[in-house]
Amino acid sequence: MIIQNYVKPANLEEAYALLVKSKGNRLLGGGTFLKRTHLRVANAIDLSDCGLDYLKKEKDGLHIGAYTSLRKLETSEEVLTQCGNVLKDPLSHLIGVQLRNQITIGGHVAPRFGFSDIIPALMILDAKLEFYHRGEISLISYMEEEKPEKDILTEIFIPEEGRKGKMQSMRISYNDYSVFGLGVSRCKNSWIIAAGNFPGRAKCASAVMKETEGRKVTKKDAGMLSGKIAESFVYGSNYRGSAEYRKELCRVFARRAIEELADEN
Amino acid sequence: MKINVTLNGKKQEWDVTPNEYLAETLRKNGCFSVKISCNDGACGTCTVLLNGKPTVSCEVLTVRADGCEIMTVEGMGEEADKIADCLVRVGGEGCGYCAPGFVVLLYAMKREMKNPTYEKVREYLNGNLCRCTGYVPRIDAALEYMKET
Repeated sequence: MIIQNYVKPANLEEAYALLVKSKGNRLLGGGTFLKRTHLRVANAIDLSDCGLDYLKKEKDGLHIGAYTSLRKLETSEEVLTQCGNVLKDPLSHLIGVQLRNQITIGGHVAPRFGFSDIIPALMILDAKLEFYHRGEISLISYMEEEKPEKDILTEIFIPEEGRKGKMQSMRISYNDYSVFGLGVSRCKNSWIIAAGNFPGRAKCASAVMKETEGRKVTKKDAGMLSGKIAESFVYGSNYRGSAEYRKELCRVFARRAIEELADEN
Repeated sequence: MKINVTLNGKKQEWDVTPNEYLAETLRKNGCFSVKISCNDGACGTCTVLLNGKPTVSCEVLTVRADGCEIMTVEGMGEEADKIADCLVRVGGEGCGYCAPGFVVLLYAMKREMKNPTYEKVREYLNGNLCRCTGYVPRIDAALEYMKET
């Protein structure tokens, strides 16, 4: 990325006005992806002074400011208590502590990076995104959008609804991006199944989610449902793994997750 | 652009461009302990403390360090010697290229964690790659350093 001008607005109003003023104006997150893009940016907008670095546990759930670092989330007791290992596992595998001190959760989620398994983890936690201009939208809907409008992601909200989940991923080495990741969560009879790194941006297995909605799922269904989940995505091959390998990982992860989360009989 | 930083306890004013990265700026300002290796944030060789937090300086735009406190090995004084002693005692040193980043990271770990387990130490230090030592003696050195008062 080539930056012509660096701007640090004092508030979100100023930042948004500048963002929509020109196509060439862009937001900065943690800034760890800048070298991987070849964009020419007229104004790089730094939101560090906009008060978006916070993590609050309230009655309704967790409110996470978009400029909160991944390391802060990884080491937070509140996140661990509410989300268990669903969020902690993908967070703690991302490169090293140093980089996780820099990467912001908003900067990771808003661009919908296809290599992320933090995004499917947030999807199965039924996370909501709060944008400065357009307001609240569910992460699942945001991921389905063709081209989201230019806006500032201000907060990620994880509702406290007693959702239990399991996030699994396969990595070539401990602190690498995953080859493939799949998350499954359950709140009563509502299931969310999301996967990432096909490679490509994270998606839900919508047809299987609809099929299981309101229905009792038992451990016996694990084989049948995991097959359907594996069939519901389109996989690709790259140097990390083949499409066939990813599909097989998906089937195995789905079966394990359903066996863990479903009712006995 | 003019920015103000506190580098190793001393206030400084730097004139930087928006595309300059902190690792380059630190070297320009005499902090040669900061090594640039992968220049991609993955190896940890250029680790410095930015407001007390270990950070890979090759991934930080220098303009964003305005108003920050930066610490490199040059500013660690006796603590750097203590860590170096631990590394030497257990044979945790090879070519030395990645050592400054490792020393800074270890210094940060001691201040962030109380009595970490072997596993926690391994996890914390895995953002600093070393091609000489095979990591085992480095973890031993880290555990030695954690015991020091």
